[in-house]
Amino acid sequence: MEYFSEIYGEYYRAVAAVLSCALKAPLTEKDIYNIIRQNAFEESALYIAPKLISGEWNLLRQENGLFYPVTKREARIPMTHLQKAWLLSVLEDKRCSAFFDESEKDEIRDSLDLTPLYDNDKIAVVDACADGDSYSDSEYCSNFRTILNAIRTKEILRILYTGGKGTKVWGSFLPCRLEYSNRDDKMRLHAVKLHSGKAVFASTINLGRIEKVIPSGEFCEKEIDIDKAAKKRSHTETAVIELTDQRNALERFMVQFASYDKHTRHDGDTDKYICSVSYNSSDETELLIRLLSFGPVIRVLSPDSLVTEMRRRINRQFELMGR
Amino acid sequence: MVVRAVSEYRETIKSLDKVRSYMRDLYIYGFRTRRDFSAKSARTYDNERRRIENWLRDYITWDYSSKGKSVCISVDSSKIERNPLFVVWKSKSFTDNDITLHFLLSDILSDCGEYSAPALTEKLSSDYDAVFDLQTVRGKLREYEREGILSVRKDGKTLLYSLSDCYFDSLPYPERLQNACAFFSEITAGGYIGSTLMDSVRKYTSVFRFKHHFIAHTLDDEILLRLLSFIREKKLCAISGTSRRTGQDFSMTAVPLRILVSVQSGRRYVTVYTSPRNRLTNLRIDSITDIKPVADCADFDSYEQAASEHTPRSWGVSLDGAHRSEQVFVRFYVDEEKEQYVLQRIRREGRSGELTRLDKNIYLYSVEVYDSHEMTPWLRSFMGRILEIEGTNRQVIDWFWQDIKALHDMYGEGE
Repeated sequence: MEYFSEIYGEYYRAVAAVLSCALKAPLTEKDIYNIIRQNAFEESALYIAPKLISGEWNLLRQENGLFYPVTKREARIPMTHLQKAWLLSVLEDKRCSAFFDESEKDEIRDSLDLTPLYDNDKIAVVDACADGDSYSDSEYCSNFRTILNAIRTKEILRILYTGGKGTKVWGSFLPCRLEYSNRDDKMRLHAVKLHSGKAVFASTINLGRIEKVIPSGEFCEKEIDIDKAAKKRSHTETAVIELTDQRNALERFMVQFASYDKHTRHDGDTDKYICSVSYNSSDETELLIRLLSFGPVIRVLSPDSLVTEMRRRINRQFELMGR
Repeated sequence: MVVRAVSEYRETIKSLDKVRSYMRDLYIYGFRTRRDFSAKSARTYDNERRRIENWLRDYITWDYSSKGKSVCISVDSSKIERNPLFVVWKSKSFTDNDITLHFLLSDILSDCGEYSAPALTEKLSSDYDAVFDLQTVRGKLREYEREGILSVRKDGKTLLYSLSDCYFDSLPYPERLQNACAFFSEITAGGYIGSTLMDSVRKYTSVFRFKHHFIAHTLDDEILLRLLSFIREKKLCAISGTSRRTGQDFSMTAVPLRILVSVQSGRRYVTVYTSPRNRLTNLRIDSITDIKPVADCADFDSYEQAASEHTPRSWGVSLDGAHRSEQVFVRFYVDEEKEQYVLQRIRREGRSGELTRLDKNIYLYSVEVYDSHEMTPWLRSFMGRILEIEGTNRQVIDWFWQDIKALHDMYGEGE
């Protein structure tokens, strides 16, 4: 099995798209260039198009300025061993129980008839949170599948869940997205709370805290922008951090914050690094905790809210030290 | 004067070796300029930069300073539906014969027939005006049979080829399988393989988003999958790479045993048993550049057992001090009425430690670990709540308090 192969490449996909379009109607040169640009990289057309148009690849024939496919049928490539084996490893992942029950997994396995690509039990997470979602719980799995289906069909759900402060919350929600965090091994639903059919605000609900999910049989006709609804409760902020490259801090910081949209420059005069990190204001406490964990090799310069809270905690800790 | 021919720039690549390190640097750091990349030639930097800028056009930003122009791959990974770095896996170079045979052979075989290599060679010529020698066609057929695209049946002395009958869209529960693929392609080993399956699905919009998503992991997937393969086969391997910390090249003979993932730091490791030194060690997977099998390892099971015995008292990945253990005791002040979430966090993140209530709002966390130094980032995250730390490693405790003082000097009392 080749892990890295041209079979999966953008070029082959682009050529398949050209041939597919040509089967429906003959193409002009301009059509060919456009299809390639839509399906591959910007510069790909400069390489692929001449090869197709000149006949060097023997896949198109030209007649009266139009191009017809040499192939007779739509290209349909079976799954490779690599793809099947990967899918089999996925079926062994504990989180896959949220998508399929065991008999359904067996049905898929029988269709693939191969050995999994790797053994999941050879991969261990060293710092996972102890209260990750329970993927083997049948009620959790049922709720997950109901929500997944409702997102696709835009069905409104009645949901009962336990909020962050322990209170029970019941309401009508339009589910929009599911967000997963590897860090705490939790699935969260991003939904819009509805009242009398109107969007009230964006809500984030831990799937592990949901007690009941009931499909309402009502469907949302209009498009609701969850990101726009979420902006009413939070916004994007930028933290500016000064970093001194001691104790391998630069590499540690850059890798740990790689998932954030950030911009870094080196100040040659001070030999320090200035890093601007964009974050959602509702995640400010989480960011604060991560920044505190780096100790004195970093210094938060802005925003004021973050600096003030850092200072408050550090002063409090210094006081406690004095006792 | 000797004039060397300059190799022509190509959008596609033969192997991932070079682009892997450049792409990682542009994504993780993004502030280095052309002259900072001194390990290879400036021409190599230019070619890799141009390639990456072309592949990831929507995610490239530039900055200009006195040192020059720096290129950054800028992605908020919580907002994307699909990992843009998967593109590196879809850029393999190929020959003219490769692509022509790929489409023409699959076109012939899509009539559900079975053909021998000579019959296919003849059909290519008669039906498509594509003339290939038998050896070339046979080579491609063998390659595709190895990859699973083709099935082969022996009829007497003749091998008959046909298209395999396993298609992604004809598997059971196709819609749910698409959802599962879209999800797992972002979070598991070899996730890019899932994305190649999704490439064949038209008009699919993923409903998943990912927080704390380390998309650069895909750059190491080839090494990771090979490690997992050698672990399964219980192989002794020759491993080489470059240390992330020192920049020094290393090579060793070792038995890979298991993969460790840190979801907090974003790093992945392989636990290996090194035979000359007779010890366990954890190597960063992103530091490994090559791994080859050398021999079977008869003692694999005993090495694996030794590695598992370390797990209960490991805080992170350090195996220093594995012959002893260090005790750590932390007294916390937590407002029981208003800050239950802090106690929940200690329990959730505190590994094998215990949390005991001593008095109103006073809690004791105790744990035994190999290397308490690994705990200091976690302890710092509870700034403002720690009444006291005691433990067997005095140096770690002293450093902790020195850091608090340094932070206090840095931020001052406030305005």
